[in-house]
Amino acid sequence: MTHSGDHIPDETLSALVDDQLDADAAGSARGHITTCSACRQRLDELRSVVALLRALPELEPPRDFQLGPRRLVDAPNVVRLRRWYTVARASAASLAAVFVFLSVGALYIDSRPAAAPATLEAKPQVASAPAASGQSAPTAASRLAAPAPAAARPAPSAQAADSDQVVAVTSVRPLPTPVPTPVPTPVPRPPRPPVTSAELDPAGPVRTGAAIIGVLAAVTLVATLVVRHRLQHALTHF
Amino acid sequence: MLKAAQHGDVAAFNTLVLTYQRQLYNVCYRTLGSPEDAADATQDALLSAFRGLRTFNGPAGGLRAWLLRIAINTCYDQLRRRQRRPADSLDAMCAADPEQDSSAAQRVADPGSGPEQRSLSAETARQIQAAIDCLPPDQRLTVILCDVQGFSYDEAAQVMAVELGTVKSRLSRARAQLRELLVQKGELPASAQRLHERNP
Repeated sequence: MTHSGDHIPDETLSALVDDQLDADAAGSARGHITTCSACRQRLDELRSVVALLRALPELEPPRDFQLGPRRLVDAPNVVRLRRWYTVARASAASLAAVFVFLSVGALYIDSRPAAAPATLEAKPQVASAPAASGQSAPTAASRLAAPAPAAARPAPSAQAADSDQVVAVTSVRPLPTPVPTPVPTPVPRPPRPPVTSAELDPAGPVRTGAAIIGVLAAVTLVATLVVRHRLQHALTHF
Repeated sequence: MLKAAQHGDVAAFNTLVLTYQRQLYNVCYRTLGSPEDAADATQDALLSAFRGLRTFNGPAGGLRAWLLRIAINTCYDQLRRRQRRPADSLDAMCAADPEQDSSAAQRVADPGSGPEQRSLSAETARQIQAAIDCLPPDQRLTVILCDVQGFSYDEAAQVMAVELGTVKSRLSRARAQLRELLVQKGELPASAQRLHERNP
């Protein structure tokens, strides 16, 4: 807003209006004004502005601002409650978002059913496969399970049959002893190594986390509602 | 009185409120341009003052400046909130043409306080208030303290916690901008002339 050339800067004119210039500066400015109509007009207008501003009416306050006991008690509470309300609301929203995220995550993990149960089912099949082949079924069975003797039992009975056959061997050409084919008995499930819960239910930890966060979100939501109710009450009686 | 208020004596503080509330309200009103906002700001400032009165360790004579500083900070907060709401901003009005100015200026109510206290017409007062609202907050506060409230440069510097040179600089820029705005609105020199005729 300063004027270039020989004109007086606004700051000097403003200070001249308020008689804030020292004697030399004021004398120099007044000397210029007598010869420069533009600066004289600006000075006049600035004086008019100041006069108008000073003439603005002083307004009567619309109400009394004295503090009553109620207001004094409530005012800090309102400030505190507003702060708590903001924090509680943000916390509830954040926890709810985390809850939704975890829930969706758990559902997503659950929605991949083929992978997890298939691996669990595969184990018994692997265990029964050798038994079906009949090569070392008793051994395999005895190795696999305690009730394996049930699978090994055919062996002694087969030997007894052999001895009975020896009596008749004298007259009859012994028939080739049929090799007892091991009956593929249902192999009891081998004691699996301790299966972790993550293997059983991969979504378990996520679901647990979601449950915890969900409870926290619900508690925070209730707290938020309580704080809001108190805040509204305080504002009503403010 | 001040000591008693600092020790939580509400009655003593209310005595101080009665002393300063009018000036605080007027500063808030001229800064915010709205009676409702000014009343809220004044009340908030006084509550803040009561809560923080223990921290005031200046002389009793500095209480007015301290209270005004709190009020000004409260007004700044309100102005910042307004800037986040462009619909409420008066910047658009300041950039608009003069015809729109007059309608926008109507928003700035000037309740006045009776014909005997008015040396300006209500319309002129509205135009001046609208022009004040167009100033940047720092300049607005400076011109309100120095020209509307009649504070000296030193007092204004104390209230705003700035250097004396800053007050002079802000004040000169504010006056120059007001001069331009009022010339554009046709208030200068006509209103000044009328004012001079009423108060020769």
